[in-house]
Formats: sequence, C-alpha cells, structure tokens
Amino acid sequence: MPDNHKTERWGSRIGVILAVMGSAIGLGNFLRFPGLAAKYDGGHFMVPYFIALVLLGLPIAWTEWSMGRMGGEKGFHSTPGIFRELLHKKFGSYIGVIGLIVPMGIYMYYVYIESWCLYYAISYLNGSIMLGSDSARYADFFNNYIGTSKDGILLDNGPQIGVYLMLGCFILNFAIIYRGLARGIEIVSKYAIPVLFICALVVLLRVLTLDTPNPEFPQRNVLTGLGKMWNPGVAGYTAVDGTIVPAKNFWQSLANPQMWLDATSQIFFSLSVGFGIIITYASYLRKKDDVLLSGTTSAAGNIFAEVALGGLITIPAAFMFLGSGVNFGSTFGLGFVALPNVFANMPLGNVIGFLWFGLLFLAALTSSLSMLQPAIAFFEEGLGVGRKLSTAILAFITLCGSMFFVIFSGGAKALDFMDFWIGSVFIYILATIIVITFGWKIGIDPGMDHAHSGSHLKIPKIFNFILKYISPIYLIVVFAFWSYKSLGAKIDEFMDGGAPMYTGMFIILLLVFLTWLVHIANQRWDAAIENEGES
Amino acid sequence: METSGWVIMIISVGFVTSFFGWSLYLVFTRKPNEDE
Repeated sequence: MPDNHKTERWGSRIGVILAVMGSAIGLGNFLRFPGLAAKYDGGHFMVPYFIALVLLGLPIAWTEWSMGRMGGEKGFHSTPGIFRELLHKKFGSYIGVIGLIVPMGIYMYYVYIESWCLYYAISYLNGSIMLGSDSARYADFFNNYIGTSKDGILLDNGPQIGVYLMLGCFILNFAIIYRGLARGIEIVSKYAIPVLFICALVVLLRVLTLDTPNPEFPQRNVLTGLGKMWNPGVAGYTAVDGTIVPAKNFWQSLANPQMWLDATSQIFFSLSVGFGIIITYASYLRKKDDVLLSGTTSAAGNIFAEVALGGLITIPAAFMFLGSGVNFGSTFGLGFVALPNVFANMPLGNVIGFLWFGLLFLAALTSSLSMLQPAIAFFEEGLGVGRKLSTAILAFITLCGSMFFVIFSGGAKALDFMDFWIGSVFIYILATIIVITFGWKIGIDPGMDHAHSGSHLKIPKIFNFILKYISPIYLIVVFAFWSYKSLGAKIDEFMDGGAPMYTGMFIILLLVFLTWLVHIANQRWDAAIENEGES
Repeated sequence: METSGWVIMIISVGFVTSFFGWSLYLVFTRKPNEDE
C-alpha cells in the first residue's frame, strides 16, 4: 500500500466524465473516422463499427473503469500498482509497465501534433494559410512546417517556429497537470469539451448550409458530399484515375476483412481503451461512485463527436470543394492539406478554419493531458516523490522524446514507427491483458458485481458472456490478423536502420528504464507491507 | 445522395445522438452517491 500522499479525488461526476471524454476525443474522431468511413463506402463501414462498439469498446471501457476503481480502493492509481494488487503477484506490476509506456510514448509525439493544430488555428487568424486553390501549396505549407524533407531541418539555422510552438504546448500541458486532478485536468475539461462541441456545431452548420459552393461543379453539392460519406456504394463510383470501381452489394462489402480490422481499431483507439488512462482516472473515484453510467456517457460522447460531428463535417466539406481527388485514408493529408484548401475557398473560411483547428487543438490538449497522469501517479506512489518532482521527472523524459521527433522529422518516419508500436501494438496487448484479468482472474461475476456497486445503470447479463468469451477472442483474432498484415514490414523498417531503428532503440530504452523504476517501486511496496506486518 | 445513404446516416447519427442524450439525461437526473 503506498504510504506517501493524501489521495487526490475528482471534484464532481460530470468533471470525471468530461475528463475521460476529453481523453478519448481527439484527431481520430474528426479526421481518421470520416476518412475510414469514406474509404469503405460509408454506410457499410458502420456495420463493423457498431458491432465493435458493442462487443469491444463499451465492455472494455466498463472493465477499465471498474478495475481502476478497484485499484483506487486499495490505494493504487498507477497500472503497475493496480495490476500488482489485482493479480496478487509482483509480476503484475511489470505488466503495468505497458500502461505507463503507452500514454508516455504517445504524449511525446501527440504534443507535437497538438502544436500543429495550434499553428494552423493561428494561421487562420493572420491569414497566412489562405493560399488559394492549388493543393500543392497546402502540401508544401504542411511539409515545410513539420520538416518532412530531411532529418534535423527544423533545427538548422536555429529552431523553427514549429519547435517553439511545440515547446509552448509542452509547457502548457505541464502547467495544467501540475495543478493536479480536480484543479487542473478537470477544470480544463469542463471548459474545453463544451467549447469544442460548440465550435464543431458552428462548423457543421456552415458546411450543411453551403449548398453548391462552386457553380462550375454543380454535382459537388452538400447532398453529394453527404452521399460520399454515407452512401453504401452500391452504385459504384469513378476513381481518381478515371476507372469505374465495380458496384458492390452489402454482403460483398462486408466480406472485406480489412474493413473489419480498421473499424475495430477505430473503436478501440477512439475510446482510448487499452491506454492505461481510464484505469488511472477511475482510480481517483470514491468507493461508492458510479462507474457504469460514467463510462457509458464518456463513450457515448466520444462516438457522438465522431459520427454525428466528424461524420457530417469532414468528408462532405472536402468533397464539395475538392471532389474525389482527395486521399481520404490519410489522416494528416485530409486534416492538414485537404481541409485548409477547403476553408480557403469557403465563404467565412478563415473563421471556420480557425474554429476547426481550434477545436482540434482543444481535443488534442485534453487528450495529451490525460496521457501524463498515469506516469505522475506512478512516480508519486511508486517512488514516493511529490507532485513537483514527479512532474519534473516526467517533463524531462517526455521532452527528450518529443525533441526526438523534432530532430527525426524526415518523412515523419520516426513518428509513424512510434505510433505503430506504442500507439497500436502495445495498446492491443494491454487491452487483451485487461479483459483477461477482469474476465478470468478477478472473475466475471465478482467483477461485474463490483462494477454495479453504486452504479446508476444496469448492464444486461449478456455482457458477462461477451466480456468473458467474445471480447478476448475478438481482440486476439483481430490482433493476430493485424500483426500478420503489418508486423513484417515494420520489423524490416527497423532492420533497414535510420530513424525507425533509432526510434525502436528509444522504445526499448524507455521500456528498460520504466521496468527498472517498477522494480524500485516493488521494493518500496514490499518494505511497506513488511512494516505493516511488524506493526 | 441515395435513399440507402439517407437511411444509414439517419440511423447512425440518430443512434449516437440519442445514446449520448439518454446517458447525459441519466447523469443529470441521478444524484451521485455519497460516501459513508
């Protein structure tokens, strides 16, 4: 049992719901989801999407909320402590290392992407991003800003503006996190999430009232834009190279395994399950606080932002102005190249562009904040240090990581490699461990009984069966198939050397370092147990 | 936009909006538990 500090608590139920919602709502809601839906003929994509929500997303979210509260009742707030306690084995604390490296690792590059959103929002205020209708100019603007042409270019001749903005976002995150849970994360989320929704609704209203923005292309109107997103594609369509894509029926489309894989990943990453964040957040709940309704509301808010806002804005807007010649599957291409071109040609485009990138910045800020809390909780309870020192340690480690991505900016290869391993592989592994721990180690009946304690929502019994059997099998099958398709290429990238190899070595170094810290924490926790036994 | 597209859009957007609205309604109408 950690001995050191007065336990922090959330200030209110709506505060923790908004904080978890803020953690989950990110760029993926407004860019990745619409891109994927359009890529897979919109309507068809929603079938595996909603199935993954019911069989994986919601059950794992409830599990994480419940396990977090269980750990908090025992005085632990970090995944090493919580897994050690729930598995009743010291080995559990080493499994918990994944719950530290995932949010820390993602934060290192996410704060950088967050600063891109801020830069774009500022660029709409001063008009420097209104570059006409030539797509190449927007691609150049983006590539020059993030320095994709070669490694180290952002630091040649002194740091570029992007480096300073990244540092600014970095300091902002740590200033907020230093204030603590209720006074920092909760207050920011309480303001940021409603503002984000209002900005998104204003942008949505603008997009839906555009009618036919360019009379030269009467077929590019709001209805065909919505059709690009939502039509199930049975009529077929003309591809960029002019070829006619054959008509598909519903069942042919559903037989595409890649679509299932992408829909599952989207649900998974979008709800922030398997990140180690929800467990940490829920550990600050009181014993009688509700977890099921709070978990459901956070998930519902996230999919609302994704489907009702992201789904109605992004693709229709891009299609109305740019037609089908957009790579909808590229998150960065869609968000930072295609959409700026759209806003530049839209009436009131600078205002709408500012609101859009402003909301993306808020979405990224509330997500990046949540990525810092798990490590801070661990430093506090595992190493026995105060908030000031734990914040300073984390700031040092993550700053080294973030600068790594600034230095290795060429082709964004380092970022892509880190995202693959930390932001995908480790998340799948942690989510699988969480589900198996809940369903098989804690036991599905005691686990669900605990989840229902103090709950304002009753989960149907069928979810006991889903959580015990379906969710783990679903996860393992998807992960196996995904690994089969992607792992080989990434290992080859590592072996080829350069930025991916350095990134891989950085990840290994971080893993070793965190494992060593968990070893120290175990010694402290063992000593505390011995002391308790003697007294 | 095709009829099937309308149907899918209305069902999807309607579902997520109702789901979010319903859960928010419960959050605001159920009093948080007090610790003993």
